[in-house]
Amino acid sequence: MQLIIDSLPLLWSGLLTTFKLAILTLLLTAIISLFVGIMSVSRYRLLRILALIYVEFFRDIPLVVNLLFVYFGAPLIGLSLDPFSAALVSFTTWGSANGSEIIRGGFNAIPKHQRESALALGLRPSETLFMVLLPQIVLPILPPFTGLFSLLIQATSLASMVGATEFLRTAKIIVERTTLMTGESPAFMVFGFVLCVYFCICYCLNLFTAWLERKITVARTVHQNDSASDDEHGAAAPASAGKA
Amino acid sequence: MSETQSTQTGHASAIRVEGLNKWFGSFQVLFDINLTVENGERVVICGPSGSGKSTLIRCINALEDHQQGVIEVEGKALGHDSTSVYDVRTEVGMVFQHFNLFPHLTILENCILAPTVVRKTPRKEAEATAMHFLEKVKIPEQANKYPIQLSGGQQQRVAIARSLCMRPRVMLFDEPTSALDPEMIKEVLDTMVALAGEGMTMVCVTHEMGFARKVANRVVFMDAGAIVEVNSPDAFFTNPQNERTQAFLNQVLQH
Ligand SMILES: Nc1ncnc2c1ncn2[C@@H]1O[C@H](COP(=O)(O)OP(=O)(O)OP(=O)(O)O)[C@@H](O)[C@H]1O
Ligand SMILES: [Mg+2]
Repeated sequence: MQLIIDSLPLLWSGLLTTFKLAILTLLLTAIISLFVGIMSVSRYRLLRILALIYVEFFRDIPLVVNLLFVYFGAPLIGLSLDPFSAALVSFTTWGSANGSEIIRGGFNAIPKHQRESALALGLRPSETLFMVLLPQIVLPILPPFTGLFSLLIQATSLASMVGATEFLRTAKIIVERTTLMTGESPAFMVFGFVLCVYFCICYCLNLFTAWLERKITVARTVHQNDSASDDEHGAAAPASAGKA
Repeated sequence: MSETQSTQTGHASAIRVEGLNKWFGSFQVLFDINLTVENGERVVICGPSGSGKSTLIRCINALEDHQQGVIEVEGKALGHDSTSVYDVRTEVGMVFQHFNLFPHLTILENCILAPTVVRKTPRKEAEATAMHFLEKVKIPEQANKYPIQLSGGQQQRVAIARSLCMRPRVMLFDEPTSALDPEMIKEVLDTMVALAGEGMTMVCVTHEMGFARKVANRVVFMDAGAIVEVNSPDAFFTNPQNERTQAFLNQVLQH
């Protein structure tokens, strides 16, 4: 225990790197997923094909292979990426290939009449996309995106493979150093601590999105000005009328 | 609504379709359709399933494109460029079989979306217009609810109000009552009868023969992608000219 307390500054700096990597990865993944997802349901064949190639390419290689390929392959095309950037690039491409599929699925689940009635009202295709279709996919894509984000946060630990000093790597360093100095391995305790921290982060994320999901659901069903009880009554009425 | 109808283009027909041919791939759905609808006229289109009724009215607001022929709405030709498509769509309101209210918006927000976005109407004014039409369809008290909280009949009446908020010159209906439970059909038909009474130009695909008798100026019968018979409702029901019309009427009226 003392060891962990003593190593806190080092662990903390590793954790900060992990946070930085995770937040940037999630942010870029979200943006690129949206972009590629929209491309994949575009009216234009060329955009759809480009999106398809992107998705198939990055989805079909293991994340670790992708990471190693980016890190060791980048110099071959004259790019030299530090471990952090290489990890960011590979996690984001992999994440957004999967994320854009979630978004495409969300769009495809909307009845096609929704788009048609928006167009019939005179909305332009872009207005239809942003004001009618996009708001409708938020709720259904939230759970799969939470899963993907969780996976990506966990995947940031892979960055240690190419030498990024993130949380897992600092833990490893501490274990190795202590083993060397004292002859005793604190691996169980240190990695147990690491496990707990990852668990807490992902668990908080899940709690947050579950809360968000509930909040949106309630906001979209509860009678805006009236109390919730009044609303239950109103929502139940048509159902019971149908049975009668 | 009736005031706006007689301005500027009062001389042009509300809808003019001439020599319309349409294919889905290599399958021809519409064969040489000619149909003119004057301002204030109510036309009912009926015919067996798959005869191309939906396709025809969807062509009129460019939800389907057409390969041959002329379509004009209030004198504006529907070309293949997007400007003419938007021009025509703002003049034409459409109500679908499956109400298609936007589930993430309240009833009021559903009604003001297009006016504020397309017509750039200030929000306050759009809301006032929306409440006006929600009162017309007799559900102003539902304005702040979400579509899922309304019955099918109420949703369809909102869909009608939502279309009217754009102040269209022509309203197209594609089987507006066929997805409804029997007890809700009447409330929607009543709304449509009231709309007809105000002089709205209407083209309505429906098998509600009572409605056709009551409000239609003309009944158009389609079969296999072609217009087979056009007649006044009385003549259509009592003395159908074409044998296919007779066969169809026998079937519909028996049920
Ligand atoms: N998008 C499409 N692609 C290919 N064929 C289509 C498409 N939409 C309709 N069709 C075909 O065109 C024909 C006419 O269809 P349409 O929906 O216009 O008929 P309808 O008269 O409205 O029938 P219903 O009474 O069943 O609604 C049908 O044979 C249908 O299968
Ligand atoms: Mg149809």
